[in-house]
Amino acid sequence: MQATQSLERAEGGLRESRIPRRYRDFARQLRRSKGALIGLTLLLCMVFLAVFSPLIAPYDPIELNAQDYLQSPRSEHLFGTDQYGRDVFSRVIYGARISLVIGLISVGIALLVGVLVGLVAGYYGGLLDSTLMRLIDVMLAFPGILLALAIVSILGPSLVNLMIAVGISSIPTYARLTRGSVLATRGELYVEAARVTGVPNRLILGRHILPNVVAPVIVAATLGVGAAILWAAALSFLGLGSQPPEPEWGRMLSEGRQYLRSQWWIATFPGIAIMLTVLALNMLGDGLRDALDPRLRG
Amino acid sequence: MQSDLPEFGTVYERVTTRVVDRRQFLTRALALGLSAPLLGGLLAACGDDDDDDDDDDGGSGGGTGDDPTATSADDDASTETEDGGDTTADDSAGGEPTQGGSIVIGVDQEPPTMDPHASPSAITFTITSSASESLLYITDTREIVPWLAESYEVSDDGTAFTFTLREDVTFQDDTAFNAEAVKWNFDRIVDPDYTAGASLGNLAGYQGTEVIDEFTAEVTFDAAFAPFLTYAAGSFLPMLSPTATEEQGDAVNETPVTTGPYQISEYVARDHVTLTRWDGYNRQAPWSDHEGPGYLDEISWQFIPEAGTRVTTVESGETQMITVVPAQDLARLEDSDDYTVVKAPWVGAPRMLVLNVKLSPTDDLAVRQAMNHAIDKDTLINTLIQGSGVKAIGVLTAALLDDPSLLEDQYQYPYDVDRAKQLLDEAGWTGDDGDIRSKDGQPLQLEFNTIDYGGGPDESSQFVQGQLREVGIDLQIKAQARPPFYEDNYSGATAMTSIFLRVGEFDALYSLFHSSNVGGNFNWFQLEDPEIDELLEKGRAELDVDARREVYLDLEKRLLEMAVAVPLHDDFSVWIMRGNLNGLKFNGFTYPIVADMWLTE
Repeated sequence: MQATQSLERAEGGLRESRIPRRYRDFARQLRRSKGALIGLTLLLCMVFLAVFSPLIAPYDPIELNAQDYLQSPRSEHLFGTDQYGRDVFSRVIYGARISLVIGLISVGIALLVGVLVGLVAGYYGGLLDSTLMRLIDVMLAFPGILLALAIVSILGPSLVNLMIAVGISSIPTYARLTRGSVLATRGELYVEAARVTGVPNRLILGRHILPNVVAPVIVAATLGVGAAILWAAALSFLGLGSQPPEPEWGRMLSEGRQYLRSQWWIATFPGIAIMLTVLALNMLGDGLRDALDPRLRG
Repeated sequence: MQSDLPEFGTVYERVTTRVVDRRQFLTRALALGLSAPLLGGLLAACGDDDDDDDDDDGGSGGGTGDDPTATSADDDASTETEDGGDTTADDSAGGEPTQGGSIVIGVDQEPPTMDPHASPSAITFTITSSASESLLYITDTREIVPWLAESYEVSDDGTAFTFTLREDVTFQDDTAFNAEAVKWNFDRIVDPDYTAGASLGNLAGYQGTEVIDEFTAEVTFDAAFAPFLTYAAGSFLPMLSPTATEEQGDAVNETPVTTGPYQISEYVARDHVTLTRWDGYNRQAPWSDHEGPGYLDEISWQFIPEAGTRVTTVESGETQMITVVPAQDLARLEDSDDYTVVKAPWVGAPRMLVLNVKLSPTDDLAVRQAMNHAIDKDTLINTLIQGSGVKAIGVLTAALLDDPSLLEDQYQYPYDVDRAKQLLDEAGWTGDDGDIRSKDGQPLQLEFNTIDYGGGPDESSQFVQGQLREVGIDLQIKAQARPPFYEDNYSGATAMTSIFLRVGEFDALYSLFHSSNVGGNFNWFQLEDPEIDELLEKGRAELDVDARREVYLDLEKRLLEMAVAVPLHDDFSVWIMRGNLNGLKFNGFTYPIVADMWLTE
């Protein structure tokens, strides 16, 4: 079985160029992982809810509706209503929008800076590498959530600042990861070949190194979006993230927590939403890692 | 005390048999200019009478039982205060007080300092009111009775107050309490090198204290200062030991040394402060049912900011008593037989939205009036506040000043969205329904400065935000920690903030509205209005009780017409006790007195 596979692969390698084969393999590996598929499905559902929230949500997520105050889940209000009479279902759906955007943008910020720092440090080495990595070490010395907390406290609580804070705190992960991969790739023959033929450094970095270090970064980023959503929810829970009346999940948890004993639905449903989203991203991330990591391939 | 007053037998009898209401008596006696020693004696007699009555009633705790009287004029509060009354009946079911035991009380905040002269914060006085003593005492029915001073005399012009002190008082460190100590305490508060808190306003215009003899002190002011008697009896001017305070340095912020029946013995930051019974206490405090030290060995105040956790602790028995209870839990606990719920209406200024009259858009009267019409206070109270408060009727709580004339529409701004919109339209703030209004391209947007107690701003801020949005006003909630919250308020950085004051004197309005308090505590309205200033000064100088009340009623009406505030609700001081705890009382500033509490087996 194994022999046949490697034979097929060897033949395939002769027939097709490198890239498409990699993607085909990747897709096959991903399909094989049930967890990844479940994660992907859940995530797509969340994305669907987020994109079409105005169409799906039955009520305005922020409008007060005092006469419907604290209603338990029922047909008109699937997830009940909160202390201001707002429909929890509608708020959870709109919350998907906010949370996914937070996740993506914060990771985007982290990737942009982290990958660049990692590439430059790993490729050029020397003093530049030492300086950049010591800076990253300093950041790494703080637990990520604490760093985010400090940054958002300085910047002031708002959604934008929250994304910046979570983004900055995630930089070290990507920087170190990228640098490690660059170090491994830097000595490859094709890189040396490119260098001796006079290809400029930025092109070597962009065309030859980056595509080969991107796989672990993608895995880390997928898991990172989940972590970012969780951090953002935690900070919003503490009142440092989104501001009222935005239907952010973490803040909904915070606002519902004192009602937990009698009106459990206010905090429970946003809690489940956070859990499902982070779970989906983690499962997908695990599946991606399995699919992209050559050492784990059968 | 009674024996000192044979010649006043008739008057005394009339007072004690309540032919003359005690408050009326006080008023008349003051108006007649009765000499202070006699008056003091009579007042003490009234105090004794109080205790006698209580004994006849079967040893009732007294404190909350009087609340219905204190608020009888407040129709809105009647149902809630009846609960308080019932509760006191439960208290007396506790039977004879027993000695010993210790309790833990869960409070919502940690005090910024335990030094009662330095603190601007109600939480400090919530704790220190049971451990410290002042010259006079104000009861929950708002009578002023002797405490560390046996009697007092007010000069005709209202600028000099002479106190005759008890001679048997020592501080907990054995320092003698005398006129020098009084002078030292008051001088300390006004010392420019010292950062005083709420106490400073209580000594406005303080000229000095003259030590006439060892136990006679005369406190003088630049101008007539009618509220001083109440202040001397309130929670903000207690006596600290001069020697201990000077020796202990910064430790006064944690464990000040007083003359009270409990010693503030231990302070652990972010955790608790402990009061230990002081066995050297040798007299009967005006709120007490007995002579000598308290019943409980130890009273620990635990700081538990998270409301849900606080409720859980009283249910699990980790604490025996808690305060500031979420509306949802309050209803549940009230239904249970295992707990006693006590509610006392706070005196002072109600919880209100402060509108900055110098900053756009709240510098526009129409906007302020529209905001008043746009907020549905009844719904706010029926949903988020529930049993913890009643609708506010002005800038003073009804427990402090209540009058039917305040209930007219021009002062009350009934909830009326259409009227609010119309006012805004007329003032040029226009926009389609559902949109944020604007005027000359400037959107109708304002910032609401609030405190983040560690889980976002308090619930009603979102309610207000939603209601203002209905009429096209965009409210941005700025929730922040205490220090920047205060800074923004001093500098008038935001168009809106919120406040409440817990002071048992009409003069509370001076700190809120006098132009001299812009940039400090608490004229966060940034109001500088000569007419208001004049009325505030007039109120301070007026010695006649009825005339004084009229001044403040006028003042309150004028302020309501100016719509500088949106009064929301008069809060209750709410306390949940486990069933085996008895004897909670309140002073005339509605701070709890726990020094006479005891445990039933």
